[in-house]
Amino acid sequence: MSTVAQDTALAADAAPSAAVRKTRPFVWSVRRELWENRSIFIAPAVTAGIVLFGMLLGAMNVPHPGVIVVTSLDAKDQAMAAQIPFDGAAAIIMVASFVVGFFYCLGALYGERRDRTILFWKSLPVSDLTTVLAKATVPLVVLPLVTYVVILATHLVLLLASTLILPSTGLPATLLWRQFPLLRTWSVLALLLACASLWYAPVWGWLFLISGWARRVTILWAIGPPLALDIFERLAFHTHYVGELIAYRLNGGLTQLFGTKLDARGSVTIDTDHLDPARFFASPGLWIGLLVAAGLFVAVVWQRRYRSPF
Amino acid sequence: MLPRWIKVSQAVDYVAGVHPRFDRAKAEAFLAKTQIKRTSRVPELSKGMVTQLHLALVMAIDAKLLVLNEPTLGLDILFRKSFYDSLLNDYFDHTRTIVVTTHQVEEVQHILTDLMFIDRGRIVLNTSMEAFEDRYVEVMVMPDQADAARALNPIYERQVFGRSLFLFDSVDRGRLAALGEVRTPSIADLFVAVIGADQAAAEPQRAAA
Repeated sequence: MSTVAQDTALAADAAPSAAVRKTRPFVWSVRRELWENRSIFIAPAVTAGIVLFGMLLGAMNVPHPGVIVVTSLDAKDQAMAAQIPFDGAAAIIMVASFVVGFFYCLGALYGERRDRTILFWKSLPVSDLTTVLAKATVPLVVLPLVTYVVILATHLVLLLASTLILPSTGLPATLLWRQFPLLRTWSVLALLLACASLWYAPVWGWLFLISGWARRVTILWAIGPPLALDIFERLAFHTHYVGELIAYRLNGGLTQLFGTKLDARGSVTIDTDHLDPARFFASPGLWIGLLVAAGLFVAVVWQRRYRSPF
Repeated sequence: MLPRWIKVSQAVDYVAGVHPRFDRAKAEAFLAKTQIKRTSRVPELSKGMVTQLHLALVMAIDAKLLVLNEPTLGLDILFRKSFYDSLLNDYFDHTRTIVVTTHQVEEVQHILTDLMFIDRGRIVLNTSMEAFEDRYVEVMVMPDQADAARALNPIYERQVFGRSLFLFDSVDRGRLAALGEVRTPSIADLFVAVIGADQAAAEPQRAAA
């Protein structure tokens, strides 16, 4: 980011004229993305609102047997029971953010080509590298941050509401505050979001490439070829390396971070007790993924620079 | 093409944020002369207002070379006039070059320094306006003089109210004055003569500098 700003400043210095102002193309390019794509904020926030609404509605009607079950549990299980709505809310909001990220990336370079505003953007002294980096910042940095803040806010509302509601159901509110590992949850969450951002970088890179390349129906071009390759492999060779590769990219990060395995139904269970960041950062999958992502983003920049946008 | 989602204030902010030679005060002053609201988004503006906004952004950029492609498309006559006036008075200062490519040649004829015709990517005419005025002459000729005029090899001829209009290239004004009323042709007429004569079915594009 600083290099880009510097380049501009240098280029401007070279020209012999008076009024030259300092510019921040990267910052303004990110701002432009946020102006254009307000769903980055709205979708996670709305999802959080719906989740909260649903949970509070549910909490009002905690059945009496449920209360008895919880109070009869030992401390460790109580903690787990208290944790469930918090983890559930976080998971749902993260899924919503992932969906937002998916569609943002598909449209990131396609939108400006479709409505021809790329002509306007390219007429300004903002390089293709700066533009693509600014766009890539959205799924890699902005969206995880937004997700984190929204989840934290949701957790706070949940805590507050639970404190108010629990006594009326016969459960002591102190139970929640005593058993709920707030700081640990929030730390794990931060780590999880940071790791997911790195792990999914090649996915975003792939979507960017398609977004800058496809003439229409970007979603088909993004999903179709990998899927077709998978089906072809299964039919022709009766193997499923492609499918495994895709599944590894979608779930492998969690597996590396938490040491969990996919169960028979294909769903992942997260056990924060087995959290192992060292294994995650030592896994070849992460670094190969980052290399692939770097290559993809280079291709994306090249494509925006040299290929006809229409 | 301005993006549909952008607000007027955002467009100004953005260009100010990325362009080292953008003079925000100039853009604001230009916008102040229009009906454009800062909080409006592009789709809420009329076609003319979008052009005005575009011009406000462009004219506030201190550039050695300004290329305007069909700048007055969609603007009403009042604004076209004031646009070219402000282009000359506020922007042009003899260190700058402004290239206007347009099909509305009538409205730029009097502000040009140089003129260029381009036909399907080929430059078919490239002249300064002084040379243009020296070189091309239009003569209104009564029917009885028409044959004499034709003998001088006009590059173009058309009939107007029973008289003939001839366009001459590099013919002595004194000799032409004897035939009828002499005047400088409009760029539009010359364009028809130069390009129309060459190929009627062409896809012409005019460029004037």
